[in-house]
Amino acid sequence: MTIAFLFVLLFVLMAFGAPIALSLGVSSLATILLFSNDSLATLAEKLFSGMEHYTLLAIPYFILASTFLSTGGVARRLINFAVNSVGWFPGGLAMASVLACMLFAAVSGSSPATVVAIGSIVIAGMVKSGYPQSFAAGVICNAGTLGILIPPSIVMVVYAAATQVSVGRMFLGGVIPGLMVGCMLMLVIYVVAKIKKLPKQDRPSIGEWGGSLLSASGGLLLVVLIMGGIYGGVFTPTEAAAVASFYAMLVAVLFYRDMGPIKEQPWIPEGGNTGFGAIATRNIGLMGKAIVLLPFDKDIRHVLLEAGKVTIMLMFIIANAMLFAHVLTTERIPHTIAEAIIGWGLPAWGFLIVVNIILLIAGNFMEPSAILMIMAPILFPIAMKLGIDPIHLGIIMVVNMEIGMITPPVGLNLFVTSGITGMPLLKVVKAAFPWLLILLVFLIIITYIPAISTWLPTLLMGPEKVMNY
Amino acid sequence: MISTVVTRLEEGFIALLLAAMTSLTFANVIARYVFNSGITWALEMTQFLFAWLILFGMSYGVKIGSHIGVDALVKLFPATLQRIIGLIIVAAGLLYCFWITKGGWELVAFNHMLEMEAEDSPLQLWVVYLIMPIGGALLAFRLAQVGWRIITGKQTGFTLADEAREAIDQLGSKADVNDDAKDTGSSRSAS
Repeated sequence: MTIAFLFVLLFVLMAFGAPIALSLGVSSLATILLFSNDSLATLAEKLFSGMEHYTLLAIPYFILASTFLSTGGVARRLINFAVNSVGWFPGGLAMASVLACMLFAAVSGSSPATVVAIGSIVIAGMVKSGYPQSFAAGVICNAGTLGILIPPSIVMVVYAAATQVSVGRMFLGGVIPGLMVGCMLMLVIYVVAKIKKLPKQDRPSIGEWGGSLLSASGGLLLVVLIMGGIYGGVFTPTEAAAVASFYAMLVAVLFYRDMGPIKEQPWIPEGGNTGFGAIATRNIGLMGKAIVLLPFDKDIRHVLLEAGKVTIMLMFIIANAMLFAHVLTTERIPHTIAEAIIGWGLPAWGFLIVVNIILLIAGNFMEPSAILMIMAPILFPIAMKLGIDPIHLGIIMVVNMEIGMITPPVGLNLFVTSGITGMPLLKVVKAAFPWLLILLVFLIIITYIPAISTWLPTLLMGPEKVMNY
Repeated sequence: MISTVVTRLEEGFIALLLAAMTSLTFANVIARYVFNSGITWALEMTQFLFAWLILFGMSYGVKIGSHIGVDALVKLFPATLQRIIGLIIVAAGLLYCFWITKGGWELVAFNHMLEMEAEDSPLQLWVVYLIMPIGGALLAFRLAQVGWRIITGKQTGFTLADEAREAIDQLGSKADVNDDAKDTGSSRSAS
């Protein structure tokens, strides 16, 4: 009865078009106040504690870092590097877009952000060199989902927060699956390109390739900083994220100079003194000036505000989803469902089919972070009883969320792709569909070969300690 | 005129909170490695700022229409029904505000009475929790504005932004968006 009330209210509000965060919040508060004895103050404290959660603190920092990177011209340099690396294969530009998405995913934690950063540049480029627009849009829409599979990943942070699994482990778990999806996409593009005779780019010289690598290295080093920092034990994932956003800011302002106080000031002035000493003095002076002026800069404030908006939107949803999960727990729902499912006597593989079906359906209607916040506490204890590895379960959930991002009606990547290409939403859905099948095949692979997700974290961090449930 | 000032204040405060959080965490890492001693209150303070950012910002999110939702179904209804549904949503939202404002206020009063202090920072907890009723009241104000615009016919429903528009706006003029895309899915009215 209580649960029926909770879910009916949630779905009615959502169908009426209420913001997801409000739907979650109103339905959970109403349920608790009607059916249980918690006081408003307790609930307020519960909500507050969701908003000051230490693990989740990584989310605003990763968002900030990725905003600096996409406004700061890093995306463009990653794309150049990708085109120089694989552009000369048949269908090279499309393969390069996938590679660029993978690289950007490795410095950003969100799928829509990846689609926007890479897609807004490469889709136009692909169309110009003779690719059908729907092909380009479909590839980007799918490759963009790698944003949450290749670490860092906001969705993984949420999973870790909901289940007490280590964020570092989850990040490592995503590396090999992420590379696999990327390679599968590129392989299919290669085959399609051979059949459809899609164009290829000229093969660059080693020098050109090296130059583009050097130019992109400012962004690529961020991967080293984040992953190295976390696994070297230098800092926690949350701290790594904060350091990453500082690093991203400094790279964008001091080195790439695409924004900030010394925007577009060349390293070597045209027609000026080109002696080493003169250049060094000039640039040290410029950088000093930039650092002093940083706190007052318009561009920096703009980036902070944009990142703040995304953080608020996302965290408002997550905090209310935690409240929702709290209601489920007080009503002992995870426990009841766990007993029911275990009562069916399902083997682990059967349970995983159920997990996939539930998540694929949920992914169509809900925001990924909210789904994880709500579903993880329900599915996790059952999975532990059946002896499923927590990292493996996490990666399965993330891949399901990826698919949810490219299926309507709540497929953020679809909206974003439609936005940057100007294609009607329905056309984007059709364009993305064939590539969606690749992700589905991958989901099956990842579900039944746990080693893909667990091998790397076990190798680097030792065997997983499974908590007893 | 006043609204420009208010907007600048809101946006400035959001940027400031995020900048303060990031700087504190960063400074703490530096302090630990360079000076061999962390800032004891940094972590707790960052967490408070995080909560402040969300609770203060949620009303700003309503103002600029950045909270995502699914309005594909509602869009199919006639305008009058859309307006009624919009008002129902606003009412539900106001109820939410009432609850968190009241709950937040009780939390503040309780901590004030017991003079509870934060664990690491030299702060009274009731000051920290004060953002809860304030944020709730601000959210109520912004929702009421939406309600008023629906009643006066300036908008038909609870307009939602989708993250797509948001993300594209971030890139500014880089992306060339045509009107087809705006009409599908959710859309946002000028704020």
